[in-house]
Amino acid sequence: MKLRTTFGWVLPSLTVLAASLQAADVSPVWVEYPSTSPAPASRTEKTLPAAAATPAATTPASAPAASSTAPVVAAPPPATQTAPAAPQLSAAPVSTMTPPLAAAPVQTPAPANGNGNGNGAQQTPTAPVVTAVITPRLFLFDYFKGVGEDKTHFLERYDYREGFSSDTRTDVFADVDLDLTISNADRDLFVLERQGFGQHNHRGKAKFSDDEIAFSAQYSHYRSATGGIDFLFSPNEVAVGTVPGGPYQTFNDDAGRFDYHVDRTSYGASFKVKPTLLGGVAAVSIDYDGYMREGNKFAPFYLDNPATCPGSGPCITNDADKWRGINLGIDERMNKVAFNIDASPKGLFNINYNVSLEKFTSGTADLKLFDDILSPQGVAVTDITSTNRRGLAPFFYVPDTSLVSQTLQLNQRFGHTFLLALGYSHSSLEDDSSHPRFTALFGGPPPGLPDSWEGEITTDSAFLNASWNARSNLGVEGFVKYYQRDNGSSFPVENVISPTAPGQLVAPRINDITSIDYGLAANWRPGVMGSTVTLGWHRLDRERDLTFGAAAAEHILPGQTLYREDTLSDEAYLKLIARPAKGWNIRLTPSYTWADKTGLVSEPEEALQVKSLVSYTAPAGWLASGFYDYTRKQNANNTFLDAGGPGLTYSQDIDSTLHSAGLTFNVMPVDTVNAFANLFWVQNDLSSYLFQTNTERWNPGVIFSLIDRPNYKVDTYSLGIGADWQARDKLKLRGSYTFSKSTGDVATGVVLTELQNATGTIDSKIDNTLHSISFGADYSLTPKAKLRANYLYDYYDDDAYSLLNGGVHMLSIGVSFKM
Amino acid sequence: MRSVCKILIAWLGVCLMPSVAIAQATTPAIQEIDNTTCKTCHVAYEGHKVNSYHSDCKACHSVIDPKHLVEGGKGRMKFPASENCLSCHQNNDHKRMNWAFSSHKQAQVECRDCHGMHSPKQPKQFNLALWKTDKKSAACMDCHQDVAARLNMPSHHPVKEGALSCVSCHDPHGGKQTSLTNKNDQCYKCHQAIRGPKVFEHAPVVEDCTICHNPHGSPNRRLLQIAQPMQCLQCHSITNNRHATAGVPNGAQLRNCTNCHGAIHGSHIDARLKH
Repeated sequence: MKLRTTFGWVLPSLTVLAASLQAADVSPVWVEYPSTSPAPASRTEKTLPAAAATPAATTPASAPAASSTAPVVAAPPPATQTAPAAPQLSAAPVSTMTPPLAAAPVQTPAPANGNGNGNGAQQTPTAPVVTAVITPRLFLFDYFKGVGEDKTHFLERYDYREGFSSDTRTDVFADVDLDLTISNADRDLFVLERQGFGQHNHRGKAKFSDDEIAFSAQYSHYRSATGGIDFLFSPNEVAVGTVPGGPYQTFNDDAGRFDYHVDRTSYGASFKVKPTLLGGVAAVSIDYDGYMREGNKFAPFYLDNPATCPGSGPCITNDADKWRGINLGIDERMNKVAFNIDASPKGLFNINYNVSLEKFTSGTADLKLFDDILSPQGVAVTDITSTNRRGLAPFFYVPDTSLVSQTLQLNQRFGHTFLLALGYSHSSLEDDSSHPRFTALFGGPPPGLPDSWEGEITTDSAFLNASWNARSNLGVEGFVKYYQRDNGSSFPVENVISPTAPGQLVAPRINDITSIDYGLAANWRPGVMGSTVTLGWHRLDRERDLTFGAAAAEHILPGQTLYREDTLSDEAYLKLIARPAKGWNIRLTPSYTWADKTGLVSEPEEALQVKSLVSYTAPAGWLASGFYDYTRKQNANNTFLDAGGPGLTYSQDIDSTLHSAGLTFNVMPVDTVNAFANLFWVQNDLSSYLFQTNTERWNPGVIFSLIDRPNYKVDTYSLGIGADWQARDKLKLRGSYTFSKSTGDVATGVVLTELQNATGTIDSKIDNTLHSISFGADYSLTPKAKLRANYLYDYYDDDAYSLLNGGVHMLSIGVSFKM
Repeated sequence: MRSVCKILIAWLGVCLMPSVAIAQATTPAIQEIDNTTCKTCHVAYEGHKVNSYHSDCKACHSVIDPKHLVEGGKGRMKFPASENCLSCHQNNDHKRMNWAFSSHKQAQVECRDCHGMHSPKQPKQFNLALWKTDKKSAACMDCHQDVAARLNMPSHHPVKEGALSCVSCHDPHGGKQTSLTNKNDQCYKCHQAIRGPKVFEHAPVVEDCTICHNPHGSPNRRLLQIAQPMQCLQCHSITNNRHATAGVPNGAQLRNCTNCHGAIHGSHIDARLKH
């Protein structure tokens, strides 16, 4: 009796306990929810009509919902469209829900159907809704210190401002931002945006899109003045910028002081026909892009005076006239039209074809050496006239060109495990203007030889990628890439470029570059710490077909150049991505490269690279992340050979190290405050041998000597902190401070000493600091009007070239009107 | 015997009761799930304007843990992986057709990391100094902090000024393995004047613009990786009779090689690339 009683209590107790544990089981019983299930008729829809049942033709977790309201029922995606399996199976991360962002105006969206490209659209007729925000602004700016109004202020290079009175130093200007949207229940039908920061920096775009077509247009206008800073470093602008005595004692500035800047106005439009109009199998688009680029830049140069005259270069009587600088105009136009078709017949594969035609023209005046450079300056010359070849030579010539490109791409999935992607492109770049220019220059061809030059470059590229999911946690991927650049320009051309005529092929001609890059990678998910491990290898095989000029004719020969015909290198790498706990993300990618052959000294003979990143996102939303990247490249593979003298061989030895590290924090200490801080450091450290020769490298008697091993080492640091604070319901405040500093020597040893002797710290040292402080406030005057004010203060301090020191105040005040 | 049966019946009842309760709580609730159900809790999404193709919560959040509904919102929800998005956004779309081989995919970046489904994705860092930057670039900078720092260097492409965007040069949905555009050709989309063809070419210009330039930013002028003259002296020697005085390299010439070699990207008339 007692035993039965006891048994009677124990068993139910255990059962209840087991049931409780089952209910509390943290391993969810995932339910594949059929997206087409009907809603109860009694439920009142706040925003959606009741879902009606439609044929369940989709694979779970892959296909979009196909629910629709009667009477129009959109056809769901074809049943044959299988869920695309990822070639690299990644652990489905469980992200913290992103805090909801500012809500847009309340709409009544129609139920979803079809695909993102407009197949099977569902129309729910509603009146379009127009929302618009227009923000007129007034800007007040003041550039202080700096070089002077006739030269570029350092901070003006990327922020060129000009006010109502055309003052570029202290003035006022206005602009307006616009954000207009017309939307219906399905989508944003029309969007018009403009952002303006003055007459020299503004942009805009317009887009129209419905289920059948899309049209967009965009433009931007921007003025940069970086060339103005280059001018400040020219030989006459710095003390001891010329060499006492000899051919470099005088620099002739034919340009004078000038406000150097370049304007680029870009524009484009695109018209797309979506699959809805094309039976759901294709999309077609026509795109236009273009730009105008106008301005001026300072162009220094040196006029040769070869030992024999007339020789291959112009003959200048006085050495003091040879070193010159001109104000070179820029007037460029580019127009490009492209046709594109994408097709996915029955979802079996994806194919894309694109063809484009681009025309580039340079409208800059064709500068002729005698008429435009020498004669106006009264330069004494020998055997250079306005009608002979030397005098007619086109200076800093930029040819008009045409580029025709075609690409074809295909990819196909085979089941859930195999994916294949192919692509091929061909482009042909032709020079449209050099031929007539050179023909006019040189007259008719001599018998048997072309006496003109035509430029043509063709390139071919192709790729093949394949991936295979061998198992659910193991994948293999392989790729092959091919590239060829063929220099089809005229060669040889008498009096222009020739391997036999003296000085007409100083450096080798690059006839052809062909490269093949191929590799394999395997990725594995071990099921530990949410990690993925990828092990890979790839090989680069590049061959160059070079033509060297004849010996003893002012041509550098293979032994006297570091440029080689072959590159053959391998790289092995490991990628580790781990999510050991919720919110944590760890990435580590070491790689090692080794090369049997290097074509250039900038290629690594041996390289070690490590990239690492750790980040943590807390459930509360704050974020901390840090990264460190290290790259070391070395190359002692390429050599110089004495052509005369002892006949020794000298290896160039490049040793380059790049460190890059950073920390970032984003926190919300209270609900109304969002703050960030970041710290960044990069160091570039490069050393190489300094070789000197007794004469030009093309001279048969050239002898090399190793005189030093200079080192370039520059550190850059930046610190940024900032916060925004919702102080009141109507008032939001913002502030930030950024500090950036670059410091280091551009060289050591002999090079540093001589640079210091020449211009002191201007060219030998980098030591600059930029402070940026900003404050902003947004105040809601009414529910539809918001006052926006921003103040920015930048100050640049250059300890290497103090002439560049200066700062800018900028205040903008605007009111946003919401309609 | 009857006692045993009673016990067994009681045991069965106790066993089944939680299951029945769960089933009663689970099955009808899941069947009745629609957007209204979701927005009962997720009120913030009530007013969001989304494209009609994104307005059905179940279309993307298609796997639901029953406990998410039963236990007052606890229990895990699966967020859509890229494959869910690509089931629509890959067909008839050359920009995303090779996502599987892309650099972002290989780094396990998901669509939702960059794109907002319910509302536009806002960049995390709101530095006022980036007020001219386009939103796409500001979003890229949230992860690519090293690039963002380079864009602040004295010489940089004007991304933070809004003149161009990260996507002006980069394809966020593509990768090196599936790119048919050579690195130089990417630069030549805007810098046609340098493209040529030129009669006399400069090897590093033909091979790879990034041998000399860092396109994001540099402490050196003209985006140079290394300041002159070191940049040039890696490949070139100094000629005594032209670049030196009494055998000593001349500082005024060394400081800026392009002061004489003005056509450094190639020339139509001068093999020494001076003009």
